[in-house]
Amino acid sequence: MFKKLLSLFLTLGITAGAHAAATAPDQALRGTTEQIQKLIKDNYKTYRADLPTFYKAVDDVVVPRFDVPYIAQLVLATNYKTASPEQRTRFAETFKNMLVRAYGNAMLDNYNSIQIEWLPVRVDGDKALVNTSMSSGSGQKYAIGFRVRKVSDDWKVFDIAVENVSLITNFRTQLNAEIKKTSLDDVIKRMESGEFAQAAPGAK
Amino acid sequence: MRRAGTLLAFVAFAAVSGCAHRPADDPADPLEPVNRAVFKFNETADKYALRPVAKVYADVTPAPARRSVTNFFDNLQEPRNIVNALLQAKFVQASKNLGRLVLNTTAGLAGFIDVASEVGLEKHEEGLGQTLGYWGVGEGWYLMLPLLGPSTNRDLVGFAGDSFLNPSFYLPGRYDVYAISANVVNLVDTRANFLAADGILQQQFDRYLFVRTAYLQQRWSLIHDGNPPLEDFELPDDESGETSQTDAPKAVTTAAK
Repeated sequence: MFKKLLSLFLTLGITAGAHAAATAPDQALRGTTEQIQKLIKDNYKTYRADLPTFYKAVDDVVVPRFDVPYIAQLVLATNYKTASPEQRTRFAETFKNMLVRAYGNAMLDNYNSIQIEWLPVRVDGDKALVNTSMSSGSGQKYAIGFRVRKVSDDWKVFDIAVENVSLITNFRTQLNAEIKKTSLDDVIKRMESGEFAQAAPGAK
Repeated sequence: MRRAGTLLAFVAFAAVSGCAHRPADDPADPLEPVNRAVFKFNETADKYALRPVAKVYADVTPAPARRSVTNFFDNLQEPRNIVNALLQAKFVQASKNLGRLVLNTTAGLAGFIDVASEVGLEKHEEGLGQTLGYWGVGEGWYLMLPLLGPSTNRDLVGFAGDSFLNPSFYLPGRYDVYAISANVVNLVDTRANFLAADGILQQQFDRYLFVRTAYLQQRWSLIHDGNPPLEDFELPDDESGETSQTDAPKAVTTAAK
């Protein structure tokens, strides 16, 4: 009996400890943001002259903060079920590349003037909402929210809401309408050729 | 005119009551072909009339002057905000909006300066559409109105009801040249505030769908004072094996359909 209790306490203690050790969702995002801001600051000219190198840096630093397969699944929604594993991977890859280009360019254009205010986080179990208020040079403020979820003890982004317009909802609506008109393969091909590169809300 | 408005309100109310909220990516849009035609018409009207005028207006008017114009017309909406905050039993919010109305109308020189925001009484929008949504009325069908833009059955009812709460409705000469000019200025000024968003709109591959999802999400957020319940995005038959909270209401709406 005592042994059982002890092991129970130990398990609880360990779990509690593990939870305390994990960083807060906004801190995780802050770390990534600061990392890429510093990289852009140090290599601005190189990145401007050589965009592929910049995209590579975004791929290495920012993309791991995102739960790409999960995003692909949420965007494709019902079409995810019927997609082959190969289609799923190809879609996830091209969708990720599209976001890297769309948001990467916005980051490169505004890294110097952008002010990020980190607002209180809403945690809901293993998911959370990190609210920020971003303002650029013009002083106009935008509410940008990051939906994150816990994946193997790290917080990963699965949605961005710009002024309450969600990336997932926007792409889910538009892409699935396109898929209905043609086919998933066709849409993937068009995305790979860079057709929808600028459609992300908030991207310039 | 008024009687027709009331009748329309009743009919639309009967149509929307009892419908639950639907997610923005799967709204009820049975009029889509008509809506798309109206959207095309609106885009054309915007391209050749409203947008060029708004651009000239934005170019010749200094930003502070434009902000004053926006403030003035916003101030005229404060009675609407107050009444609708009260209808939602948000008494603190109603008193804040009352404070805004008093401060901005007096110290803010008839509303041209938003002094209330500087003392912490931030702008807060409440309308009848939001009030109905607050008490659980679903949005009903998505509508694209000629020249007025996106709406829903619920928000159209709200729009009609709210028009009685705008002080300009009670002006004796509300169809004279001054009143009409004021409405045109308001329209152009509002359009000018959205010029920056044009780029984003043009980059969408289906602008109609973009406006629809954006509008519905925006309204849903306003109903919840900027803090809508967190969307799970997962579908009932997702293979991830995770159960989601949105499944239940979704299933209900499908069944009710």
